[in-house]
Amino acid sequence: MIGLCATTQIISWDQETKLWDGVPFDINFSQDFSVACIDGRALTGIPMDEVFRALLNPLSAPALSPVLPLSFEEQERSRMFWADIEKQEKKERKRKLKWKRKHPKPSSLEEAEKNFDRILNDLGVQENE
Amino acid sequence: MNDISKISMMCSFIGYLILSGNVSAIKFLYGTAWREHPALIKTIDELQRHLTTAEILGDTRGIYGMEFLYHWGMVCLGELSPLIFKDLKAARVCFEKIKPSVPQAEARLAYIELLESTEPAKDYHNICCLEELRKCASKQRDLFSMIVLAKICFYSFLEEQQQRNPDAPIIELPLKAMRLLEYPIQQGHPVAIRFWNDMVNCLECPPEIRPPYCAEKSICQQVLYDLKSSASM
Repeated sequence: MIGLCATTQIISWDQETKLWDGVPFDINFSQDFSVACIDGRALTGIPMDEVFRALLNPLSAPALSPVLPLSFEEQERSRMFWADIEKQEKKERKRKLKWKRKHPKPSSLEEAEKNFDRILNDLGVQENE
Repeated sequence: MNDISKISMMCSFIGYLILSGNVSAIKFLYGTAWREHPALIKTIDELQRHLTTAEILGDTRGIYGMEFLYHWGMVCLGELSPLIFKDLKAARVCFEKIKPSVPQAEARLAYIELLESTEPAKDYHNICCLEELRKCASKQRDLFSMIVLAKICFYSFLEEQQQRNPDAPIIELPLKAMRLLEYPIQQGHPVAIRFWNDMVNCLECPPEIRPPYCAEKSICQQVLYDLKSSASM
């Protein structure tokens, strides 16, 4: 069943403790924000960008690591890796075809499988579209 | 005022803005939820109690516009983090409402159908939903559809493996799932990168033959903002 991927999304112990860390945060949407101040500034007067930035990098929290571009070697390694996967997948498709020819199935079942495979297979087709 | 109070105040304010239909606020929340900041996760949790299907359906004044509904629907799908509750009912209502003007909405609805389906994978209706996702992935180059197809592919692989031999270790990953993730990973999609690393973690083989992990440094938050409207196509 495909719905399985919804039920397998279980929170792990590590993740649960991350949520506990959030417990002291007191989130309340119904306060009067028109009088709310942060460091002497009216909250409604602070530009949204500044609020967002402050949220992601609060002064006392460790700054989030900057997003660095991949080095040339990393890009090359990644390109080779994906090329290899593509090769392997082509091989697997050929192997499957051979196997199917040798072991034919009743047509309706075969058709259902073909449809399913086509759908999951399709990225190769997409590149030509 | 200490940092926790400040962050609480800011998140409360963002939540308040979101409840009033502010698009920048919902986009910020959607674009940053993958970072799993506890205060933001808690804000989403609180918002899911307030911004329910009833609120969205009862919005006759047009507070929640197309862009807002798309991003709230995406948050409610819960793919950005396992810490986010999958509120499929709210997500469904959002995507239903914007279906006429957002081409990806059909694919999101198809994914919700699949998540809620209790039929076998190859059931006719499921095949139709998969086809909808495939179309969106190939014709619109929709990264999210590629990722969810990869997920479906990986979970059906696990299920097959379980049926064949539950005790056998997982020593290889399904190539189809890997191929489906290639483009989203190259684009730096956080969900694709995390899912790839989760798949690699499932492998029970020596580290020398294990595929490499994807570094989170290649995440590009901008790819999350993928809303296309019919008018722009």
